[in-house]
Amino acid sequence: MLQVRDDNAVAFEELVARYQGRLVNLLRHQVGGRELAEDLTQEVFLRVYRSRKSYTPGAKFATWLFTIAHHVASNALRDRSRRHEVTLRPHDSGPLGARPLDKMLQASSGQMPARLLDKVEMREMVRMAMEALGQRQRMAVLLSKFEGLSYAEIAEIMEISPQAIKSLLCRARENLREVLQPYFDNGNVILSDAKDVSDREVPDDE
Amino acid sequence: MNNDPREANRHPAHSDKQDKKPLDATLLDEQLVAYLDGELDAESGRRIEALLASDPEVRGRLQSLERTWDLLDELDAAPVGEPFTHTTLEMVAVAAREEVEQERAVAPRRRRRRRLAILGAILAAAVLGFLSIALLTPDPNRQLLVDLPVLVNLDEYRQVASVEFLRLLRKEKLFDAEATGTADAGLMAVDGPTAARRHRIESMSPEQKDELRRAAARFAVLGPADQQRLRQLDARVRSGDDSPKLQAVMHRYCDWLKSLPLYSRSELAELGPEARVKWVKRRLSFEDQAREGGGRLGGRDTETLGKWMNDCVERHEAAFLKTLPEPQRKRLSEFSDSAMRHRLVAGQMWLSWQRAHADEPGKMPPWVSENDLRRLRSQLSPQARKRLESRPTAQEQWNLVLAWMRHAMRPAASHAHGPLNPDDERLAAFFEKLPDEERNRLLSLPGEEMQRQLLRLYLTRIHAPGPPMQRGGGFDRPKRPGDDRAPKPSDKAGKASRS
Repeated sequence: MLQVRDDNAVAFEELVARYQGRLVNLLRHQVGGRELAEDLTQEVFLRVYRSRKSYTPGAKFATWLFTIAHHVASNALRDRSRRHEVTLRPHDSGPLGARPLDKMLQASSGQMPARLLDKVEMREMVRMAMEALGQRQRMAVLLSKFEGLSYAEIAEIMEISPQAIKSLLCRARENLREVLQPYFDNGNVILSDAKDVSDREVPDDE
Repeated sequence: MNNDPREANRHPAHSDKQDKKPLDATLLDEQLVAYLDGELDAESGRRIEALLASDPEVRGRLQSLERTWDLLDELDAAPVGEPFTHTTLEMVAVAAREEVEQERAVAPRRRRRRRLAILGAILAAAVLGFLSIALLTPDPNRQLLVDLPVLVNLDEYRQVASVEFLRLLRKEKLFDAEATGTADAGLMAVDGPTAARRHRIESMSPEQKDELRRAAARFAVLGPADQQRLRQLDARVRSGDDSPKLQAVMHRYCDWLKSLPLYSRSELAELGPEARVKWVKRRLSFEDQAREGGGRLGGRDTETLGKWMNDCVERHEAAFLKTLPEPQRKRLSEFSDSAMRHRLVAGQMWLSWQRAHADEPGKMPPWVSENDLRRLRSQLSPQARKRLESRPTAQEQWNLVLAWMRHAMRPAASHAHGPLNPDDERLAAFFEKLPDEERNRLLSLPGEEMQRQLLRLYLTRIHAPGPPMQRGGGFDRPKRPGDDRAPKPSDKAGKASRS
C-alpha cells in the first residue's frame, strides 16, 4: 500500500487483483446482488485510490480497506432503505424458492437425487440464515469467518469496542444456530451419508 | 443448553472461588464463542476447557455452535474475472486523470508536469500490464495444435480424471475388452508431430471442426491448473505400456456413462478413483439385477402398485412420522392442506425406503410389514404375482417391489416434466427460458460450474413439483400451473426415447 500511496501503478494493480474477489464476495453477502456488489467494490477501490495519501504506514492495510468497504456497504444499504426499495435478492428465486422444505420434500420424492438436493438446500438455508441477520451482525460474521480478522480488527473496522464485537458475534452465531439447527440436525445425517456415497448410495434409477 | 442463569451457575467453573461474579447463560455463550474464535486469554480458556470436560451439555452447545459456523462454508464464492479488473483499473485511471486536470487548474507548471508524468506512468503501466498479458498469451492455433490430443478426448478425460481410475477399472475387469483399432483411432490420429496434427485438422469435416472449436472453448475456460492436469493425464494415458487397453477401457466406460442420468455423471466426477470404481460396480450389479428379475409392470399392475403405495403411506404415516426429527415433524404438522401434507410425507417415506435399501439391500423398513407385501400380492395380476412369489424371501420380494416402484416412477416423471437425464439440447432449451438475470449469472460462471448449476436448476425446477403418487392411487396427476415450465416440445422426444 505504501507503494500505491507513492503512485506506483503496478502496486495498485496488484492490490486490486489481490483483494477484488474478497471484496466482491463480502459485499455480495452484505448487500445482496452481484452487480451491486461489483459496483460497490469498484467504489471501494476508487476511494482507496483517492485517499491513498491519508494511509498511515502503521495501519494494517486489510483493516483500512475493510473499513472503507464497511462504510460503502452501510451507505448503500442506507440509500436503499431511504428509497424504500424492496429488491428481490437473486437467490430469492433460487432453486428452492420461498418454501424450501416443501420443495425439498417434494423433490425428494424419488425423482431427485437426494444428495444433490441436500447440498443445494443446505446452501439456500445458510444463505437465508445469513440474510436474516442484521446488517452489523452479518458484517461481523463475514469479517470473522471469511477474513479471519480478530475481534480487535473487526472492532476497528466497525468502529465499536472489541467487547461489543464479542457480544455481536455471539448473538449472530446464536441466531444462525437457531435458524440452521433444524436443517443441521437433519442435514447432518444426509450429508454424512453423502460423504460415504460409495458405500451407501444405490445408483439412482433414471 | 439451559438458559436459566441459575442453572448456568451450577457449573464448576461458575462457582470457581477466583470468580465470584455470576456467569449467566448469555455470558457463557459469549465465552464459548470467544473460545472458538481463539479470543480468550489463557486463564479464561482453561476455565472453559475445564467446564467442557465436565459438562456434556456445554460440550454439546459448543459443538452445535461450531458446526453451525462450519456450515457457512456452504456459502458460494463467486469468482471475479479479468474484465472486472480491467474496468476497475480503467475507472481509477480516469479518476487519476480528473485529479490531474483539477490540479492543473491550480498548480504551478512544474508540479503539474510531475503529476502528468505520474498519470502517464499509471496509464502506461496499466496498458503495459494488459499488453504483456496479451502478448504472453500463446497463439490460439499453435496452442490448439499442442493440445489437440487433449481436446479430442476432452470430455472423456474430464470424466475419468485420472489414469489410476482407468487402471482400477482394468484391475476389476470392468469395461475390459481387447483394445480395438476403432477404440484407439481417436487418440492415435491426433498424435504425432505438429505438421501431422495440422494436417489432421485440415482434413476434418466442418462438423468435426465445430466440435473441436467447442472443445477448445471449453478447455479455455478451465483454470491453468486444470488444463495442466488434463495435459498430464493425456500424456500418461498415451505413454504407458498398457496404453491401448487403457484407452479401450476409457472409451467403453465413457460410452456407458452416457446411459446414466447427468446428475449421476456429475456426482461420479466428484468421487476419488476407488470410490468411483466401487460406485460403478454397484451400479453395474444393480443393472444386472434389474435385467434379470426387475422390469416393468403392466399398466393395471402399475396402477395397483400406486394404490398400494398410497395405502402404505396412510397406514404407516403415524409410525413413520415418529422416526423423523422433531423440527421436521413439526413443520409437516403445520401444513393445513392435508393433501399437501400427504404428498410430503409420501415423498419423505419413499426417500427413506430408498435409503434403507442403500444401507442394506432388501432391508424392509419397520413400517412396512409382511402383511403389506401379502396384500400387494393378492391385488396383483396372476403374472405379476407369480414373479413376486418366485422370490423366496420377503426381503427379495421387497427388493423386487422397490425395483417396480422405480420403474413406475420413471414414466410418471418423464411424462409430466421431462427426462431426468436431459441432453444438451434440452438443457439449452431450458436455459433459453430462464430469466435474463439468471442466465447472466450462469454465464458468468466457469464452464463446468455453469453446467453443474444449470443442471441443478433444471432438476429442481422441472422435477421438484412432482409427488410420487396421489391420494386415490395411480401415478398420473392432474395438470397444475407449474407444469407449463417444462419444455413441452421435447417431452414427446423424451417419451419416444423411453418407449
